[in-house]
Amino acid sequence: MKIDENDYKGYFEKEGKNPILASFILILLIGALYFFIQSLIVYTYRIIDYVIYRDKYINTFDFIEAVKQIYQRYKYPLLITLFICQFGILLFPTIYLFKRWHFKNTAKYFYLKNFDLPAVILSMIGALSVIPLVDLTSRISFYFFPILKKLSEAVTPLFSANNNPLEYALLIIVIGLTPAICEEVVFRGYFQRTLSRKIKEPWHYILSGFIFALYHQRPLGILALTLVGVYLGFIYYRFKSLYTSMSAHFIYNTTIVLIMNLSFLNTFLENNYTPILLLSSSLFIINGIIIFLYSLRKKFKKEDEYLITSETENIS
Amino acid sequence: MKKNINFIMKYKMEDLLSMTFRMFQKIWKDSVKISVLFILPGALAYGFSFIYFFNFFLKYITKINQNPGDIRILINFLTAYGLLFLGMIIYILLYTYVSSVISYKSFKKAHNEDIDIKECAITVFKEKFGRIFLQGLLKTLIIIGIEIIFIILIAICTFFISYSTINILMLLKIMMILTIILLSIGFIAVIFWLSYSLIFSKEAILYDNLGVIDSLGKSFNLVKKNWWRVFGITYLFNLMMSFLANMIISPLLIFAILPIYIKIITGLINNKIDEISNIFSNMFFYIAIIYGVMILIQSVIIALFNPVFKSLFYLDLKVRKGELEEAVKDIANDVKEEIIAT
Repeated sequence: MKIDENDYKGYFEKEGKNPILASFILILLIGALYFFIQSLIVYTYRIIDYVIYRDKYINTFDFIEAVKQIYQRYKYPLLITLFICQFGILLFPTIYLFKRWHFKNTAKYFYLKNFDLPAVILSMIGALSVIPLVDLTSRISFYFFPILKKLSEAVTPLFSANNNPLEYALLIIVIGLTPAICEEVVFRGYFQRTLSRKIKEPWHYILSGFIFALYHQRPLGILALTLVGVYLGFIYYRFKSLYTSMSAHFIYNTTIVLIMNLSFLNTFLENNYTPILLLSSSLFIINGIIIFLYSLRKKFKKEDEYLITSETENIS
Repeated sequence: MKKNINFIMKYKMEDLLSMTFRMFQKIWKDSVKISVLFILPGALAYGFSFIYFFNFFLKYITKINQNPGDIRILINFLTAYGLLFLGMIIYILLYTYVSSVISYKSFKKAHNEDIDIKECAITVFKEKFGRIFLQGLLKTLIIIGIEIIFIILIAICTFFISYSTINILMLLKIMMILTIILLSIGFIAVIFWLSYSLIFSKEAILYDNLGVIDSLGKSFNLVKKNWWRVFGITYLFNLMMSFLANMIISPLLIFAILPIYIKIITGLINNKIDEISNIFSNMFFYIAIIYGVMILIQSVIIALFNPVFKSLFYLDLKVRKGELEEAVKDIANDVKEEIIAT
């Protein structure tokens, strides 16, 4: 018998099943696969590299230089791997499992139907103003442990566009756009959205932001990543729109790529760091208040309550 | 009549995963207690022996190069390696014991039998642990034995290509290289095939009270024709658990030893192994304890979920092989009688 799509409820939406548990299982499953396959590919590159450039490895004692050279040699394969893994392991399996475990209508569940231009602009302003704050956390760790700065410089070839417009386009697509789509669908659209069905504000976006940070497996960047994750969760929940967090994530990543490549921008930031930090921190707080008030005025919340009360009927 | 209802159905992957986490919710307090109590000494033994070995390795790596014939270095190396081996054995034994107890407890819980964890621990220790230990040993020996055959074959082929005085044909050489590649693939495939075929031997002893050899046979028969399913789901589950443990462990570990970690990285970058060795010598106890505690946390995370998952999977395989048909019939009869009575 053909199942009517409107009546469809996935495995974890049936009576006695817990959708929150499903969201944790999915995050673990997708995360484990993502890192496993990605590291398998990266280690294959390293082995090939070792076989081809064995003499260089034996004669080189500079660790940073060796890592830099690897990133230079394998820049394009690494970027392509990242692109494929983000879509192939993060995005598509999440959508597949969501449909299998929850509902058929992904767009409505992930809030992909609500587009509000002022909300998107406010989110992007917030993302820009959070960058100096995130940079501050890096500066603090560099101040105490200068060697980390040297270590972070080893990955710069991966983000370098070499003043080539095509390379800029590639970096913006792979580093800016791809995570903005894939990670937002997984962490905000699916994970946080599912948590918000049972867990109250602000705990669902604090939890999802923290797990977003842990998920990146960069222990020294946990504070900065949690800040970004919570901010993205906040705007997603307030505006009930995935476009807001996607655009904020995109502008955040792209700006970092541009700062790394455009020397005049970098110099300007270095020379005016303190005023920029103070200005952006103030802007971040004011923008947060505006987002809060704007979201109340537009009554995004009311719409969500309607979804929660008779959720299963409406989502499917 | 809900008795035994948990294990009469065939599980899908979602069932296995969600039931593992649900079962974990039911038994986590007892499991944490027993895990911490027993794994702690094992983890510390492993942590200390590993850091001792690593420290030794760093300290003497330059000396070995300078004096390759020095017998004292070799003796010290063997002592450090022996200690590491001992630490690992203590850890593995304690971990196996804890996971067996948790497995037994979850198996009883799946049958709606609420048995005290102390009772579980005593039963497993008195009645089953000897056999579990022996089956583990036997399993390892079988796998190593078969792998040695592959290693010998690969060695013969390599020797033939490298040292043959006869000027062999190019075609023969290519065939030999292909044989080595095939044997290497076979080497890995056999490890996977055997370890996943014999994966449920411990559960066979715990639940069906089988002997050492029978348990291996039982596991082999259950996995037969279900190998890909067992491999896929179990491997995925293990990946998930490692990922979970890594997510928790790596920030904890790095923040616990942050200044040391930075010094180690600096030593690595500047290629100064002596500096790293000095750090390890001066802060040996601190690093070893931290490392032991990290192993403990990681083991506890895995021990809380893995045995539960495997016990449910074992029951699922038994249902698939039609071994629980009698139990299903009994339950159906019970339900029927209950309906008539009411």
